[in-house]
Amino acid sequence: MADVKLLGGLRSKVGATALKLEAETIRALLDELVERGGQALTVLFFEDPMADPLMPHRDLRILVNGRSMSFLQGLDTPLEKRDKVTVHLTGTRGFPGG
Amino acid sequence: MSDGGWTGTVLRVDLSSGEILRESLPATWARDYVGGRGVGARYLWEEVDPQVDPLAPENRLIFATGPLTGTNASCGARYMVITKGPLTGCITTSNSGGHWGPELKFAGYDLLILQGRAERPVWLWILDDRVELRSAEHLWGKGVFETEDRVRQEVGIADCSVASIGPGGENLVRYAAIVNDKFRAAGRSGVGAVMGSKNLKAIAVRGTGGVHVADPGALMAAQWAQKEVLSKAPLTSEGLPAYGTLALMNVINEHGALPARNYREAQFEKAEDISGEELAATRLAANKACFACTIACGRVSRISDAGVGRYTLHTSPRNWRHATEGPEYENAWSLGADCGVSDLDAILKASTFCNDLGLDPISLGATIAAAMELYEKGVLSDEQTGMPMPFGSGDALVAMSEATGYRRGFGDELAAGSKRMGEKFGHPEVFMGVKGQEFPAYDPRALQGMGLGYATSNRGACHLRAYTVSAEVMGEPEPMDPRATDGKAQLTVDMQNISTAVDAAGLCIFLTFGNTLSDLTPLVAAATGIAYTDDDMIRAGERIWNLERMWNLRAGVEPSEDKLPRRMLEDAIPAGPAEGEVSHLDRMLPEYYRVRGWGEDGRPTSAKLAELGIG
Repeated sequence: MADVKLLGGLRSKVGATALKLEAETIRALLDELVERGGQALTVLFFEDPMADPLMPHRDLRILVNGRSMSFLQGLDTPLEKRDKVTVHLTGTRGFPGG
Repeated sequence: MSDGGWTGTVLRVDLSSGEILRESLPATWARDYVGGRGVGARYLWEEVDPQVDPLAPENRLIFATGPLTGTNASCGARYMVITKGPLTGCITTSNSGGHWGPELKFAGYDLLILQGRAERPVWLWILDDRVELRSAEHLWGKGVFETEDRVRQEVGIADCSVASIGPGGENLVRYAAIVNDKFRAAGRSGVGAVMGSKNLKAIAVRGTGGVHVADPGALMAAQWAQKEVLSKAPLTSEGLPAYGTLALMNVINEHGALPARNYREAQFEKAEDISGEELAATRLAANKACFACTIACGRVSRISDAGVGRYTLHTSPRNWRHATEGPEYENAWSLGADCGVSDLDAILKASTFCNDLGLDPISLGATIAAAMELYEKGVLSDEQTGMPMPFGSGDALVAMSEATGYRRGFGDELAAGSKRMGEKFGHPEVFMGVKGQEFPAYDPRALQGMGLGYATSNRGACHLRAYTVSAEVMGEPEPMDPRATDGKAQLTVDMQNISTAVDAAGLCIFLTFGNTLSDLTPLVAAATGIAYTDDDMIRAGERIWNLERMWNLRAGVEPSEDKLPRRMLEDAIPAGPAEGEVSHLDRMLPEYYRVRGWGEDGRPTSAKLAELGIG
């Protein structure tokens, strides 16, 4: 069971602030969230929900124990029991930020 | 002068003699330094001995707009205060939004330069061509809120904009702010103390003109394109309007980069209680925008029912009950996590004191946090502080915030800032900052780029000069490992130059959460009629940065001050995602100097200065 924490607008979209989910990878964890929150979440999670392979949406940020999946194995990052997973959407476009 | 953007007129007021002058803005300065922070820095370079006592009459206090201030470009609300800062001894450039900057442009002025010192307290009234100094004897000692109300009553114009100081500036608190429109502030480095040293209580301005632009059609096209980007970028269209900058509280905490209890920890176990999500769910009344802003990150918030009575507010914007504005991420952090305080009502109360008394909440909160560390170490006693002040005490936070503005009791010690206070009590190690200015809300051990940005900022520790969080946390323009040092020097230099150009244009840095420089350059070109390119804007940013650096060197702020406190370099983060990390500034700083084109000693070379036209 991974401890999943949702931030910002995802809370209302999924209907939860925190969850405990069984998932072996981040990809499987996102499937679980879609199962709970509805298919509309797929457009937030994936660049093209119909593509194969699926690519994470540019706005999607997932941390495993505080470490971005960008520096792990992306959607294929394995999850262990008691891992702390944080899911949020950033949605910045500019440079340098403010 | 060009065909638009700038008014071409500088208003100069000598407070010693009462003389009021109008001068032409040199066209080459406007072109090369764009405006705002850049032109203001150039005036300071020309007119002020860098060795001057910041609180002496010889120091200048410059209010500078940019060519886009007051236009319909989104976020074109900004003005910059440029002076020598009493907290740092550096050139300081402190930025604010609201409506004051646009009103100064509408009145016909790009810059307002104040010099000298009035014999008795005065305030300045600007109504287009009519400019006059009036007695402020009856306002001295009043808070910002009452001052604004009374000034508006006195001139009989309800929608004039007022920038003023509270007791903090009058009492020369070293991090006193200048506050306009009651809740917007040029907050950092003590610009309010400089205003107080000049016996200037307030500047009210109303302009009835507009901003002439060179190519209205091109400006309309560019601003629509800019706003379309902002309306589609999720953060500027959804995240900031919904949660304000406080959206960052949980994000930064989850990364293990949220400093807590005077930077002794890098996660706050009660971050959720002071987060944007919590504020929105329990206290948010509305969001609020500055002039021409399409983002509206400002918060109007209520004290909770439980907090009423304990932390009653005496201001009610738009007649909301027990309401105030804020908090933003920075003050929720400094008055919250950094002090170990998780009571949003106490934070709102202290934050409101900052607005009314005219104090920088970052430096105030950080200084209280440093004092709390000394209290817990037993260095400070109840007798000295006047009350128990352990980490986590909302009552101590609120009491000390008020005491600092009036310099009452232990507030007199806090008014010096954490560097001087720590040194006085024999513990300089409690100062968490750079060049005398306290850190903002990102731990440089967890985010290596932020450490380099803090160390090299020309105004002392600052998050707005190079927001490497963008790449290290948000992944834009591309994800960069927050714990790595590779590439951080180039990233920092690029961000410093671009952020400086945005400041100079009169725009809010927050629009860069959506816009790129390529969205903004056409706005400046259309307003001024000068065919700026992105490279021109970056070069202008670089020119301004180097000028500020040279001014600091002449002020005696040596490159050896490009450093971080020992705690950041030697004390590893004790727990959380970034456990075991320290800052590796030593790996990044030489590379930074090289990317800047400076010598290994951290000084701009004569070749670099010649290239930039700095004599």
